Amino acid sequence: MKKLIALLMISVWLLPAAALAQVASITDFALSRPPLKVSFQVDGAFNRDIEEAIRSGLPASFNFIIKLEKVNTFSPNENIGRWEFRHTVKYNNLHDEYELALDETGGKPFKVKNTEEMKMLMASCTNVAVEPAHLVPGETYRLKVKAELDSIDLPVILNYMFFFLEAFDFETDWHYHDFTHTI
Amino acid sequence: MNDIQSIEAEARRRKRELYIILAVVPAILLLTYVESHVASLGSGIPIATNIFIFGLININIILLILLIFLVLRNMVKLFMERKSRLMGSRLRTKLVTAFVSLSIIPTFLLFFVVIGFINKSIDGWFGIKVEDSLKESLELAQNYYRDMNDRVASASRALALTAADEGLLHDSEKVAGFIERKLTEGDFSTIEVYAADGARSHFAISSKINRNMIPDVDPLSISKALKGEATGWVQTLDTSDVVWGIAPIPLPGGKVAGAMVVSYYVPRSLVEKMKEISAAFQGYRQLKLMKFHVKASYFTILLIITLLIVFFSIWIGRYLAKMLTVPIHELAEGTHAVASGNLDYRIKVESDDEIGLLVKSFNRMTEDLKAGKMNLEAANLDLRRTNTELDQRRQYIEIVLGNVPAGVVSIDKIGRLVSINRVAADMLGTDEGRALGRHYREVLREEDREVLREMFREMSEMELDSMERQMRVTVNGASMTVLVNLNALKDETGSYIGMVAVLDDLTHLLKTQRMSAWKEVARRIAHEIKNPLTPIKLSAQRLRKKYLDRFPQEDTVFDECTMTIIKQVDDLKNLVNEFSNFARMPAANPSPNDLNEIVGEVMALYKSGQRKVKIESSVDQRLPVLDIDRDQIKRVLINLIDNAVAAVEEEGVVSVETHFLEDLKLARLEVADTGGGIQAEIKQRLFEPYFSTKKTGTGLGLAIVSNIISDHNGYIRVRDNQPRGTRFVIELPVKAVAV
Repeated sequence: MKKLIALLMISVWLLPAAALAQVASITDFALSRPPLKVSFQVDGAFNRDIEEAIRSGLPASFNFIIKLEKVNTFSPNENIGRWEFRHTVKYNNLHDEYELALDETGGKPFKVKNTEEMKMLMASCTNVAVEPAHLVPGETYRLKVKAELDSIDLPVILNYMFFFLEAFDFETDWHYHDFTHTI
Repeated sequence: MNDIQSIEAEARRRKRELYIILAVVPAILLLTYVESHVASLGSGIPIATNIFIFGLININIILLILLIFLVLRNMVKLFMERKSRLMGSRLRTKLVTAFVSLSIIPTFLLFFVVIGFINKSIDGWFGIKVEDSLKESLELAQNYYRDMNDRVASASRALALTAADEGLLHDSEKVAGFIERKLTEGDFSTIEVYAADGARSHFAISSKINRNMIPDVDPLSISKALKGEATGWVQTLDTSDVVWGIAPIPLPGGKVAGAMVVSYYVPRSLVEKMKEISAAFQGYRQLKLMKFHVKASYFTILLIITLLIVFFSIWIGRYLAKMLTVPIHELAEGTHAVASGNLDYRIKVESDDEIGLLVKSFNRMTEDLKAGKMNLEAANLDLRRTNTELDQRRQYIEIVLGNVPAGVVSIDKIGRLVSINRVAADMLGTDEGRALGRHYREVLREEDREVLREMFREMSEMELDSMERQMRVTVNGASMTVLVNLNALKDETGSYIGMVAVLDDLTHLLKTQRMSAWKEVARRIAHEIKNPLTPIKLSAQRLRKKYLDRFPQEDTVFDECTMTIIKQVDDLKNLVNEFSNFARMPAANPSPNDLNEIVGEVMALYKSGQRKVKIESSVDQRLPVLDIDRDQIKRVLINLIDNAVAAVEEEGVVSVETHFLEDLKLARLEVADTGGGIQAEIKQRLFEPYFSTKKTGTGLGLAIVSNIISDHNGYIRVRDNQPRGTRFVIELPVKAVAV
């Protein structure tokens, strides 16, 4: 009986999040070097609910995480570095324009009128510089990339109401890309 | 044993609670951790508030689940109790059902009404009219900006063309006057003219505007204009907006002489209003976006509240039912205990309501019952004591009646035998067990019945309360003379309740009286007859001595007569001596003697002298030493054997036997012959003095035998020997004799 109660309690928290989380994925991954730069797209980042939320004036942020690991054969991979940046958008309905800020380009806000352009800019990361301290030539490294909706800032009262609902959410799986460093 | 079990159960329960706590605490911590990662709360909310909210939510959910668990557990328990037909479970089920019904119906009614109301209200919030109004307001604001943008942009282009057409660029004063005039005409905030090198050449600002309110124009836009590209945009400031319009000043040949920049400062009040419209529309859109979730949230909250009410009502129902049924259960158990005889049972339910009154009444009733029972037990004890005493008295009376030599018989007023002792039963030829409760007519023999009936009749006629009468009865073939003393029984009020008859055996008394009479007669006869016998004999002897010689030998008359006289006088003298011996028979002088030895001695006398008659003896070696008078017993034996030998006449058998009746503590001496036997009527008088069947007998032999046996506290009786002859049976008591 106690086990059932514990399971029920955990289910109350976990099930809605698991059920409502949107499926998104990393596509068009590209790596250029030197210097080490990555480009990729997030496919499926937007759904109707997220678009509506943004159009209703709620600020939204996409969080991107890049991890670099040295691949070891017989031992766990060695963590070399971790880079995290975000794309933020907020819609101004008065001027019918989107104000975006992309961390990898310095984070200076800029405005676009076109929704598709906004979506493209939000879901695209182009030539993001990954600058590890040192890479050993001949060694194999692994780049791991992941994107998630950082948050949509709901009104305060709604945060309490829907703490258990994650309708505005997506999270990609880790995208892996192995490469061997050359000079 | 029960106490030990309950202590162990309590210990197990506590241990289980400890395990639950140990499981729940990490579960709460885990849930909080999960919540903090799953639920993305706004960054603007303080962490303390988040923790507080999470804590509250956790507690609420845990409590809700705990409540559900407890309620379900209780429901299952109630179901199991009802299934096992536990006392009070039916009433508890009914009460819980009633409470649940009473609470569920209005609660769910309210739930659905409120749901409908909320649904309608929320739908009302997002009505088309509201959205349209907000949208139109926003479009109005947007149009304003669009129009203003177009106007400023158009103005910049128009001013640039005019300045180029009129060739004003070469005259600085004309340019200044021109832009000042256009500033006033167009109600713009500023008008600036940039030269082809990008430097500002002229600047005019409205008197309504403070210079600090207008920022510098974006150089990039100036560069674009100098390249021939006209642009227009709205610059959002902290407090207001500025609408910019930039257009190149063309020269013939497609060249650009400079750039004309026009700005319009949107009034702060206007901007704020439009921002309010924008915020309202945004808020509306956000709420609309959350419409379903708001509804779901309200539904969830309402559902939780409804469930809480339902569960709480179930809980309260069960609690109240328990409050009612526990005392009832206690009462039922108490009733069962009292019915089983446990009057010390008390119900410990303390309450001031009607149940409490009932319990108090029950306890008082139990106390009264206990007091009553104690009184009853005391009365019962007294009664039993009295009954015991009565029973003892009755037993004592029965023992007395059973041991008195007289027979006692009582009958009730309708003639049924109420009591009869053994002696009376023997006398009346019946059995005690058979006779009790039956009518005397069914019990008594015909001759006895007639005597009693005659006595009843006479008592009735003469109105007597008592009457005595002798009657003869035959017991075991022996005739007895019985004195019947009949008394009417009356109670305290004098009512007749029956009769009691006392039967006295007069046989022995009469026999003794007769014996005494005979002894007296014998003594007197001996005295009166013996005295003249000696002179008669002496006279006869003198006559013979003096005159016998005088008679011739042929004449034998004298001789015969005197001899006859002398012989008859001797016979008479012997007879008189017998009578005298009988009258003066000495008292028995008992001493420890072996009866078998006495028998042996007597048998020795007869065995040698008897040839025709076969004399046998059989002795019981177990026979102990008896306290008897050796000579008298020997005389008894000789008398009986003489009689037996005489009875046998010719060939026959005389047997002498001794037996030891251990149970009865009696020594039995039997002398039997195979002679002609004795008739029944003779048997009755056989032991009377001077009664003899022999022609020469004095009739004193058996009388003396009987007398000796009586002196030894023994008993002699005669009965027929089988297959023929007579058997005398003597029974002597065996006592502990010190040898």
